[in-house]
Amino acid sequence: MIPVTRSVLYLDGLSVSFDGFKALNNLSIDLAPGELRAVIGPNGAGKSTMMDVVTGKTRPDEGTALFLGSHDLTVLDETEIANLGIGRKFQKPSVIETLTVEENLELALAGNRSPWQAIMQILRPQDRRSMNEVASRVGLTDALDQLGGALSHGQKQWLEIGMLLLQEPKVLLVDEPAAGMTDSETLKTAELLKSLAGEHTVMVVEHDMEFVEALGCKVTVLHEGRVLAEGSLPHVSSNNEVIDVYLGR
Amino acid sequence: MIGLRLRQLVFASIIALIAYVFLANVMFPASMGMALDSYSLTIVGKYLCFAILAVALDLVWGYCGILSLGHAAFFSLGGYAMGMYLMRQIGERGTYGHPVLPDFMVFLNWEQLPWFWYGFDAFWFAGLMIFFAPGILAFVFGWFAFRSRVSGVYLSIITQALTYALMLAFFRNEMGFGGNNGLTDFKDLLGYPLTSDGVRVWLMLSSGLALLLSLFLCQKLLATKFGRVLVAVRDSESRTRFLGYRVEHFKLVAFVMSAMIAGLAGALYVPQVGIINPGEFSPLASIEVVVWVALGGRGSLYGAALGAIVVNAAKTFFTGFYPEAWLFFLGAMFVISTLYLPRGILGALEDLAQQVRGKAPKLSQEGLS
Repeated sequence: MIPVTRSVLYLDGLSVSFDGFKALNNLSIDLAPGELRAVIGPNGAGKSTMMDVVTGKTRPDEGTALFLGSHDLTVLDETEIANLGIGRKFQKPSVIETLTVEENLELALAGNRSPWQAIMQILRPQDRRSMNEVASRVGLTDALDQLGGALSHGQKQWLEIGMLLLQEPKVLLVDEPAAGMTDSETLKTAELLKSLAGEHTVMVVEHDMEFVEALGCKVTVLHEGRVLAEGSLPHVSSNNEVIDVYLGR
Repeated sequence: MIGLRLRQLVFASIIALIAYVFLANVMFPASMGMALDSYSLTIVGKYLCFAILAVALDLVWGYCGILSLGHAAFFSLGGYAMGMYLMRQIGERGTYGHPVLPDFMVFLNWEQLPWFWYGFDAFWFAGLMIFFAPGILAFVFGWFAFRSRVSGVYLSIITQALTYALMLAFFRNEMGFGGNNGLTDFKDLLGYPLTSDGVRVWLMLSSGLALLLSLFLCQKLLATKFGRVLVAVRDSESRTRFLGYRVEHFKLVAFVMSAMIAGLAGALYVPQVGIINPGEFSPLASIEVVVWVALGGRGSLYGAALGAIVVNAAKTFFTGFYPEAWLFFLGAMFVISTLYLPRGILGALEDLAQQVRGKAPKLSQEGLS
């Protein structure tokens, strides 16, 4: 039986193991519509594996993963999940290096994804407008003609975020957006993500505590594949277990 | 810019070649002595067919990252479709004089034409089969392979297995394609004798036009968003999936188109060389195509065409003058291009031209990361 939920993303009792190593161990998280959530945890806590399960890259051994209460994410594949409205920014920037910034944005642009459509498609003025809008929002207006591979690490991160925006997803999964950014860029990223919450549901995985503080949202702490603590940042940082495994070091 | 000019140069050379042959062999009287003899015509026509095959492979390998080591299979299927038409054209002029059955069937004591030979007496039907036979095979093969996410070296290996299996099958007499000897002893094409100079000229011209058309169509296709999705699949397949593209469908469309172009190349090749046999399916033949493309410049359609012509011209030269040196030379070319010309002849020329102009070579969009 599918549990009734109004969560946008509902994960319950997820377990994944790789060769006996439990990457996820009875993990449960749920995200309300429009929520901004930060997920922190030491390396190997299961953050990326959780995103892999949500985006269809990894199948869980057991547990439930529901999108909008009705779509079972454990049976859909990456393409179907992406088209349902779950967008993902990877930890390692993975823009298409041999395409220009503009072409990368064009690929991400929401719309029909069939081969036939791709052959026939001509960019409409409103498409160009939204691409230019996003480009200026992520500060890449001057770099539209540059190849993805020629961008700096921080610029690639921005381009990925821009691509994510153009996909117009309902849920954004953002993996370590601040890695390789300067302090001011980090703050700018936090502002951007905060401004997206409300309209979109955003889940951010991050190591950088200053960044999490800047987000000022509910925090989930993962450890050894399960949720260790959940609540506001001051609340979780006063939790003894959390201090032991993560913050206290 | 320089890359563009080099590509235009390749394109213009093919047009010039076609125009020259058209003027010298068709328009001007033979007494002017400018016409190409039939030996050269056939050789040039063959090279042009190989260039089409190279363009077909480059479409999937250079732009979509599918290293097919079985493209000779699609080429041969197109060739067999044309061969079947040419066999039916022989009619009563065969050794056994049977009005319908080709010689090899009479020899095997077959009473009637197998069902899959029906329709090949009509040129339009054979013309469709030139595209459909390789296209359907590519569709079925690609459907299962891409859906199961077989890629990289594993895909290359099963494409080798595919062409090898077809070779073994076509070697069997029971298959009904002439077994070991294949199809040969052709007489007419569209009612004109194949050995006449006029037909040879037109076959060579058609091959040239088909090459231009394939280049033009692939270029147009790659200039659309479809082409950019292919490049995205080549460089980061999983990323493309997460963007919501059904990667296997894009691969399938490119693979089927490529197979059809390869089939066209084979169909133009067979009447010029006068024979098609199962040897054309040999795994080595497919690997040679990869060498042409790698040497000419993978990821550039014009480079692929250039590579096919250069390698085959070298092959003609070596097998004529130093037959024992040819395979060593082929091996050396492959090693040299892998080590020193990662973007092939065309890529190297582009870099050279850029250096001459005093600019540092830039990462080309068409080059590989």
